[in-house]
Amino acid sequence: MNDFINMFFNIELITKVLPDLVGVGLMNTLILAVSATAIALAFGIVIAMALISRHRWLNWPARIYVDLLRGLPVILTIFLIGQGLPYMGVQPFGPSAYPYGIISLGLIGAAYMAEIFRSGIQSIHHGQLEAARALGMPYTTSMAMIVVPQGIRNVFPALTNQFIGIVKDTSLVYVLGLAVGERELYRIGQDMSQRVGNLSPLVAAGIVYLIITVPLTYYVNWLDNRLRTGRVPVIVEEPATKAIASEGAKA
Amino acid sequence: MQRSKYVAIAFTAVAALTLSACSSAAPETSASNSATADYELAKAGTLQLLVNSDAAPFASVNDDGEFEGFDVQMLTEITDRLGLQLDIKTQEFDTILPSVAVGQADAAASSIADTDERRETVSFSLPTYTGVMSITVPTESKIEDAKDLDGKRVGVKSASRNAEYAEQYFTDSEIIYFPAEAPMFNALEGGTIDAGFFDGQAADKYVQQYEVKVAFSAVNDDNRGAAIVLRPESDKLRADINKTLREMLADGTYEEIFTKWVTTEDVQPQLDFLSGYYEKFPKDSYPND
Repeated sequence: MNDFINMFFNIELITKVLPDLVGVGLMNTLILAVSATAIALAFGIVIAMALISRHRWLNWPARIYVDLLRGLPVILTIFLIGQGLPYMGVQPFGPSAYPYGIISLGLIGAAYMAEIFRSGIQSIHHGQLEAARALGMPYTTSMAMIVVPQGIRNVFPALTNQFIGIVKDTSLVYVLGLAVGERELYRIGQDMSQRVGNLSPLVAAGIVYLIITVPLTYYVNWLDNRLRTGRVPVIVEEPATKAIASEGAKA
Repeated sequence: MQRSKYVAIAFTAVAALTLSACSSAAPETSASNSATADYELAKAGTLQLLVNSDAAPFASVNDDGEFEGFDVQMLTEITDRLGLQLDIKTQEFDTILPSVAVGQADAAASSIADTDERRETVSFSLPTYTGVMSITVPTESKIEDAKDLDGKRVGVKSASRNAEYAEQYFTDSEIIYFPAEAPMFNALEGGTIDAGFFDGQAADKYVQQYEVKVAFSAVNDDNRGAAIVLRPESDKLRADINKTLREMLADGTYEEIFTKWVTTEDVQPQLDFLSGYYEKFPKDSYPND
């Protein structure tokens, strides 16, 4: 039991690795995850529109895109894009691994988010579109102003799930090679872990991941709930009732 | 197959019982049994070995699905001489040391460097190998010595001896960390790093196959070489393995195994390093112990 505690919860090692985790790793993980999510959201909605389109030249490529990028292991896609582009001489962002990692994660995320958006949009009753059209709105405007906003609201928690997935997948960008200051949470934990042959630094990294993901989940659930029900109306007690109640209490 | 193994085990057990119960040869038999029992192996009589099979020529899986390589044959020879069975599993390097430390396996070998930090959790045998480290660059590169690396992106494998060396000596370079040698080599070919700091072995392998060259090599003077990783409390096993290593170096078995597997390197520097080290530490205590 002591061995177990020492191997996974060695306080000395955890406190040693924590400053790097919080000071360097947390920021880098968030930079990777947030940028990738931005790409995924923007590109995902475009793919989603193509997925529900009736034009086969929009629909089919989108279908193939989603099938491919959802079907491949994340680490493999990162490898193919991150090593493949520079290999072909395409190096628009210089040698750093970050832009390639962000693009890879963003494109993978887009495939998942496209499906989430699609399901959200299709969950909106077609009467909404018909009503908008009947009022004289063009198709694109009715989609953009009426259907899509309602669809997105429905899939808000699913999108958060996807963001959490991306946060965790940032650990895989490491296969492209990172400088000391570029290392994300998992890497920092693993580096020390490999050096000392003890798993506590990885446990410390895990704790920092949880600090990001768990509060986010609860915040989004709360937000989702509020978007559904609207603000809780403030119940104004009528002075008369109050007076009677307090009278009753006295009596 | 499986059944016959059980039968054999059962037979051995019965034979051992009978022997120890009624024969005058009993003391000797039990003595040799207890000798292997003292190793406190996870599975009695079998040394469970972990290797990282991405470490040719030290350990890899051949086309027939069998483990082979320098470390694999060294351990095969050692366990033969100690009268142990050898059971090999492959694992990512990340989890190899922790697995040995908690006793999921008895030993590990894949050219794993003996360092002070690692000795906090595991113990090491005497060294079996010391490597040169080679700065590898594209053939057309102008990098020739350590000074040329200033301001350049130099790839290393995380937590390796090379990484430690690079952190210490290439202070003006930007050091880029990779999880393994293959992606680091891809990055070198793709041009996202200017030089890769490989083990001499790996560098030779790449030079033979691709448009790269070794700009210069380095040896870390205070290195203790690579050794067999053992559980911290396995003193008896460590002592016996060390004894066997000394024997193998003396009777030429080491040289035979080394030249068979490590075809790109001269054996003499290894023999010099090992005999020097073994003489310097005649007991089973090593520097900084």
